[in-house]
Amino acid sequence: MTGLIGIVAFDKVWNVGRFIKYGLLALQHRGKEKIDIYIGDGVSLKKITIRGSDASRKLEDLELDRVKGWIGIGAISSTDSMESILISREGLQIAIIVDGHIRGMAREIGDRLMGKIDFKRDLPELFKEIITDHTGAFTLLMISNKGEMLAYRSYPGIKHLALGGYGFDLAIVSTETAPIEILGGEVKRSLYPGEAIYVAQDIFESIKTTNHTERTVCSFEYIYLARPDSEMDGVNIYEFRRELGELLGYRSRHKNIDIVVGIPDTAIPYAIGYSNATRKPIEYGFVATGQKIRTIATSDPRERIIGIQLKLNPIKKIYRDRNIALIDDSLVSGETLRNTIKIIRNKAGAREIHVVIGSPKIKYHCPYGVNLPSQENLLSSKATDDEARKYIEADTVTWLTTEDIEKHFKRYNLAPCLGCFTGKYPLKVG
Amino acid sequence: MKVAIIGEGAREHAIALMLQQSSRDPKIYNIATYRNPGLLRAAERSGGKVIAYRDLNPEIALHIANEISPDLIIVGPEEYQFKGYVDLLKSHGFPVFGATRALAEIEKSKVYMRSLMERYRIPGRVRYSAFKDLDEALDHIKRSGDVVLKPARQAGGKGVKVISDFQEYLKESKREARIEHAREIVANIMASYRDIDYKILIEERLEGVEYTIMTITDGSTVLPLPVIQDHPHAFEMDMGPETGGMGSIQGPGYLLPFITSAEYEESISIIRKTIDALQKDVGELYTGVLSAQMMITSQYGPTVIEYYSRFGDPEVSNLLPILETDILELFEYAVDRKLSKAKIEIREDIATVVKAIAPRGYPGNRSIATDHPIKVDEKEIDRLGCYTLYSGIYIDDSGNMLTTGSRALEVSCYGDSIEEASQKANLALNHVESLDGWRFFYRRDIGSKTLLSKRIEQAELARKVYRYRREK
Repeated sequence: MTGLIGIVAFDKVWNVGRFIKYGLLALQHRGKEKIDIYIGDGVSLKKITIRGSDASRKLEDLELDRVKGWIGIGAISSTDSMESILISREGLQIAIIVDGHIRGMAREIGDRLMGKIDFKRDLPELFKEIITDHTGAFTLLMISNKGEMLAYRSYPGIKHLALGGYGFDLAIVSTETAPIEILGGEVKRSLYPGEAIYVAQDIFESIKTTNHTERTVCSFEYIYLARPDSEMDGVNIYEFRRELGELLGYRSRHKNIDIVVGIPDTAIPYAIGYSNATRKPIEYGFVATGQKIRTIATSDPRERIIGIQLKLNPIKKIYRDRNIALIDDSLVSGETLRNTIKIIRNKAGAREIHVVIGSPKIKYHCPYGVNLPSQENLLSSKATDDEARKYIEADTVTWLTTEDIEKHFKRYNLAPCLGCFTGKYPLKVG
Repeated sequence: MKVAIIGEGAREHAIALMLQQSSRDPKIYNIATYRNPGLLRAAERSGGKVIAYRDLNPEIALHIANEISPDLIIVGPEEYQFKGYVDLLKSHGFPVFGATRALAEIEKSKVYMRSLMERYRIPGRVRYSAFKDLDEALDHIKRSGDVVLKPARQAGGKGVKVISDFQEYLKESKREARIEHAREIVANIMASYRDIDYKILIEERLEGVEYTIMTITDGSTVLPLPVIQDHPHAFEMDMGPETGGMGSIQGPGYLLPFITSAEYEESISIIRKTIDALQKDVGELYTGVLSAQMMITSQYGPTVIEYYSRFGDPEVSNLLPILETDILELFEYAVDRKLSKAKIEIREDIATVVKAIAPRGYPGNRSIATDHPIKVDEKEIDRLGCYTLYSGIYIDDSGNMLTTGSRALEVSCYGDSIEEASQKANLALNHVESLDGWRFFYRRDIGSKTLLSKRIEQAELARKVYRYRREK
């Protein structure tokens, strides 16, 4: 998974390096092992690359403001789904970052653009011409050494891109809205599916590359991936999750539950909703050690176990002899829950543990770049409900259905991609 | 009757069109630095003419006035007021509508304005510091946080920088940008002015929703016009650099949906107090327009951002469809100090939206925005019920219309609602055509439901906070 940020300053007095840095740090929950940054000053582009499991830590220490420039793009990622490239030809430089699922796309788009550039037609016109051949679930950021930025969200909008501004001075695009606010900016809106935004110091244009207006959004983004302080396509992520928790709570048949505990951090909004609906108290169940680690955004399995264990030290006292509703946003490999339940049952002395999942059963891989484990490692894919329950050693497990999710999205006038639940994907892949 | 308008922008064109609506059919003369096609036509239709001199100065204007011998002169742009056109013409016995040099100081020197408000304890003022010396200013800037940097002098709206500074982790970058900008104010903006000692004004940054109230005064009576809101960002969704104004909305009636009548009244009372203080301070009576650019701020409620010693542009164009009073009568009453006899009447059943269109390059890189040929299908714009107001367009010797690098023209449209007027303005601007392929831009979103509801939300937020603070 990948987080993108792009910034254009309308005035050359700005250095955007530090803004890019904190924008990326605000996106590191999406992955943090690959970081690419390009910064320009209207004359040339510079590239900064950071790799490794501690890439985001290295970024924190990087004094990016030493790189002078008023325009820049950056990506922070955990997967191969992020590609970036810098192409130069005859005094023209273009840097492209793609968050997508088609290999070699950044290179291909870059080459095709360069092949067409005759210095008479401008970038948006050329981009519009070549992009019609590219369908898929991707977002793209591009800057040139002439001080132009182009930001694109592919149709039908499976990947998200938001637009924001900082006073009279900056235009900001980002995968999520939270980084825009963290940079002191004001969120304007989500890009429309198939929309490209072209910004330079003297121009701002919205380019429509399709006449279709439907939107299909990634349900996993809403359920797990995005920050709860972000908004996507007009939906407040925190509220979206809390409401699903409420739905689960209203349906709950576990009358004997004493307390509700959410697995930090993502499941907390669900747990709040569940507690609201069941009128059972919510407790602060776990304390994390060190940097926040998102287990799914870490590709190294050992890192992941370390992550689970470090972020889930229980406050033992609250569990003793209690019946627990343990809330999580999703059940992927079952590793987290299995570990957690073991701790709170064996070490903390919980009585019954009823697991409540804020999403449907995840059975299929994602072809669009969400790095779910392969199908054979998805618990719901290989096991029956009861086998899954036994594996994680819970008393009961409750999921949402795909219909629930679909209905919930419908309340927000959105159609979701449910591929990881159903195996039916809205786009051909390949 | 002969009326001379000095100035060449859309504001002066709008004044000319309103004069044309007068029942007294004045002959309109335009004294200007270039031939604005709109003013040219208005003047010729009325039996007057345009006299354009590239190097116009007060003496040349006086000379022209002597030849025309107008019954009334209106000095439109602030720079002409700063240069003393009003003073010279008045001293030669001409009846002039417009602020004298000393009174126009309220707009010219932003430092004077702040100090006046401070000295006379006028409500709606903000904390500020003014500097004559760059190093002193830099010293202050290094220590300050959430501020607005302004050139100490009105510089055609250029050079204002608002830097919100909340995030500790971005402080360094923002500090650098402020320092860099302060240097630019001194080196690039203030260097060309020799009529002021102060260089930089630093004000506390305010949060809220801006609006303009224009008033006409003869020194004792102050007649307020409706609330109008300008849109300073160059691009859609309030993105991009600050401009002289890309469009403005008004109505229906005296208020806008995000201003309460109490706030309107409070704002007018601030303006009245300012006029009284200014006259006392200067020792002259004010004849002309005083416009207040204000903001409903969470800190203080209605607060003064800037004063203009003339009609706002584009705001004045919003008056075209709604003003029912004979504007010539208003001007004359003001000049004769009998404004108490006058009353402003407007159509309260319609809303108006003005939109400007500008060549790419405006406002940051005007040199590339200059001399592009443009075609305007005014008949089609008329058919939509809109007015066309020429601004940064001049007619060359072969009769071509070319851009000056500034906002090229404005359309002023009306409808039952702001939204309807906005849609008409968008249609109207479709009839402006670039003849050499150069890009022009305007803001489709001005007057849209989305933007309006955003303003309402912002104003409500600010209102809640300032009311809470006042209660405490």
